[in-house]
Amino acid sequence: MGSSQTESFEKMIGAISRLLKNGEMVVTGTLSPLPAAGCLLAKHTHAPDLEPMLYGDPENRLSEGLHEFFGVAQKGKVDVFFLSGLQIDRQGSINLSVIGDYDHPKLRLPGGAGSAMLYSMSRRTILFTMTHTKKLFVPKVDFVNAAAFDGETRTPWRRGGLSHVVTPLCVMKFDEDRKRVVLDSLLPGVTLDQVVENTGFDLDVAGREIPVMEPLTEEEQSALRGPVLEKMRTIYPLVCRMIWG
Amino acid sequence: MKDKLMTAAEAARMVEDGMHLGVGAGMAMNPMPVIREILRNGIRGLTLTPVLTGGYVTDLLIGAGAVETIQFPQIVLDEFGLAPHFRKWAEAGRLKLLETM
Repeated sequence: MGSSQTESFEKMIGAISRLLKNGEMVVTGTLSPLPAAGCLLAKHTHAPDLEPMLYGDPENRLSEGLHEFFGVAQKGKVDVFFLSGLQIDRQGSINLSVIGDYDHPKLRLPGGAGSAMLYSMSRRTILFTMTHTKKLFVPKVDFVNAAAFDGETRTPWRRGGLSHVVTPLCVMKFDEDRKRVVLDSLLPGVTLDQVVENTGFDLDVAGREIPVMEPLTEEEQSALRGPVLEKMRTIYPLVCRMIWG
Repeated sequence: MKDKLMTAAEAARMVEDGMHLGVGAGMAMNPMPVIREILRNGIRGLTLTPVLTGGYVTDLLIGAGAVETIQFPQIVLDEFGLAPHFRKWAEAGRLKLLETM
């Protein structure tokens, strides 16, 4: 993998890191290498009291693995959780099950794996994607595995919902009043047109000045390539070899 | 205390056509010797509940045609990607899915 792709992933990790606040209890689930790196980077920079609980971490204090993760979330102890989807729509719903018709899908995906509960029970959820295309960011998902918010019948146990979406091109945020995803900032080196052209719904950019994320600082860069990467290699060895060699 | 030790083949013989089978799942801690014996016995019509998410064993049992109904929150081969047999059978509408969200 080329160095520009490495830089692209590092920008996303930086963007994720900066969304995390000191003292938050933050959990990453299966197949979440960039969020895990973002958590570690935040802890090594601006958020030393962050409490990351990273699935797959050999030093994880949980004894029963994934099972216990869900228990922690159901107690309402998770401040930030990360989810993704093969489709994400304007309302922040995610699809992890099927592309096309449910009974005869064009593509059968792995499934939601508790995402509905986690989206409800985490104080805020950050969505992340490894690509940014119109196929992924669609007006309406084919199947809703988990929703960013409750409709008129808000459930009493719902604790939070969508906070941000981090992609290789930009950071989006959830507009609580209008219940829709809007553009928040561009990653360095990305143009507004690129984002608009590759998103299948209106990101509410008309007449708005969209800021560009500050590049990674030297402190962030050296933490990322130093202690963060060292730890990451124990959790996601394959992915780390792919990204950093 | 009663001796519960038995061979994998003896254990697998407790699984019959049409049973509801629970298996430890994911990509680690799978009872592979017993699963291989179940496959050799040509078992059919299972309802399968992988605990918690389905991985290698689930995909193998589906690919061998042993599973009629699958109850699951997720089936994936983790870092190795989508489960190919699950995908093929589900896309063809040949599995009864009890999917939990």
